[in-house]
Amino acid sequence: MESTAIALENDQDIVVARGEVRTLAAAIGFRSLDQTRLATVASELARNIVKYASRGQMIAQPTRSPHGREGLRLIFEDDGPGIANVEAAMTDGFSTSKGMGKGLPGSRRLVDEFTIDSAPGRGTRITVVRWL
Amino acid sequence: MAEQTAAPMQDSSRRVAEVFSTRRDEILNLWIKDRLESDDFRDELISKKELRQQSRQLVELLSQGIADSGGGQFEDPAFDELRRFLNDISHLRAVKGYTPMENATYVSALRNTVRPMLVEDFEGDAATLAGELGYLASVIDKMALVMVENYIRSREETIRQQRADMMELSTPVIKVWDKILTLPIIGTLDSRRAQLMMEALLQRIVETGSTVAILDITGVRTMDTLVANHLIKTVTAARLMGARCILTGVSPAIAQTMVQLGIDLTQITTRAQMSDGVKLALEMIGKTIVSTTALAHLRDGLQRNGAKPAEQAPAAAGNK
Repeated sequence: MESTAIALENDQDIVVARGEVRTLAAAIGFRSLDQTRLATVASELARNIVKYASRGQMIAQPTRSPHGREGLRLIFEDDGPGIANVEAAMTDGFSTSKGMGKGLPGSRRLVDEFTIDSAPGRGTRITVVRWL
Repeated sequence: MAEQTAAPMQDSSRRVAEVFSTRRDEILNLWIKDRLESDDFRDELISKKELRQQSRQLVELLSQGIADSGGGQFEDPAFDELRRFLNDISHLRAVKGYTPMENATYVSALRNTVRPMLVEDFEGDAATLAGELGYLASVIDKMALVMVENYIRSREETIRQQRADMMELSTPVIKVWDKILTLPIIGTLDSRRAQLMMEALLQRIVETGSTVAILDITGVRTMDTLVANHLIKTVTAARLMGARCILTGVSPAIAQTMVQLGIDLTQITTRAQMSDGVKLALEMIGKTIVSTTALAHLRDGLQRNGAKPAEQAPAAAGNK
């Protein structure tokens, strides 16, 4: 299966990204709960891009581990302001925008792998993987 | 298309105008014949008679435009009426189910009909022929573009309309009982919709004097922190208005996702099914649903007791 990239600029794009992730997850064979988990992560992280960076993109890649396990990798990248304190941002309840402060730490709990690369002025790149 | 546009362009043409005025009927008949015989002709969408009528009018307007503009460009006001007509028929054809490709092909085919007539005339004069063909191509290409562009425009209009409809449809607040409202939430709850939903709910609480509102999310597939936040805010605002909310229709997948996200919905009363929510709502306003048989028994008992009030105690004892 090929990977797809979706440009993220507005609320409609978030809906598209979420739908795409759900379709891909179903095609890989994820059950309903995992489809919902992945769609929720896509929703959170895509919304962060639209909210903080204005624009960016999501890349969804069906993937396979060295042990032959199938999974779905999602990459969210933007050239926005970046995150000054990544550690704080990953803490429950921390928000710079009156949100719930659950988006990043919550998303990490919904996937198997979560890596974040961000610095002020350098943009943000978050990669998540969930294995089947 | 490329071969003609690559030919030297010329701004006006005398010969094409002449062909259209002297051989108009011939062009029309050849074009219609070609269209009727082609695979693109779909008799399930359009009748032969209608296609003939449409095509005749198009060729007449095109001839008129070319003649009035003195073989001028398609942007010339002389072509205004043709442009309007193209808009009309492309809309009509879009409604019937023609694709933009089919619409464009229909118009482009006209070029293939006229081309041999020009080639015939200029057999020895390649340069003039190229110029005339270039003019013909430029006018007909633009006509095809109008058809496609208009098709897209009418589709966009439809989408805009549907989005507005969805907005409206998505926030119905229904009174199910005296003092009880329900709000079925379907699809995506973005900030704008959440705002509309909250406003509609609070408004109806005031209008109906309701004290209980059931928010049903059976139709919500994904609930992220933003949506959860909107729900919590709505519940809090309703509480300030004196109404309590019951959240129903939380799917197992959403329930587990909420827990992992770390969203605390414990301060919101929830029930799995909408029907459980209705039951609870009735209890909250001091009502209950009773089966008619149970009600008949109750009535019988009351009547018996009413008729012989003295026997009330022994009868009650006897029932035990």
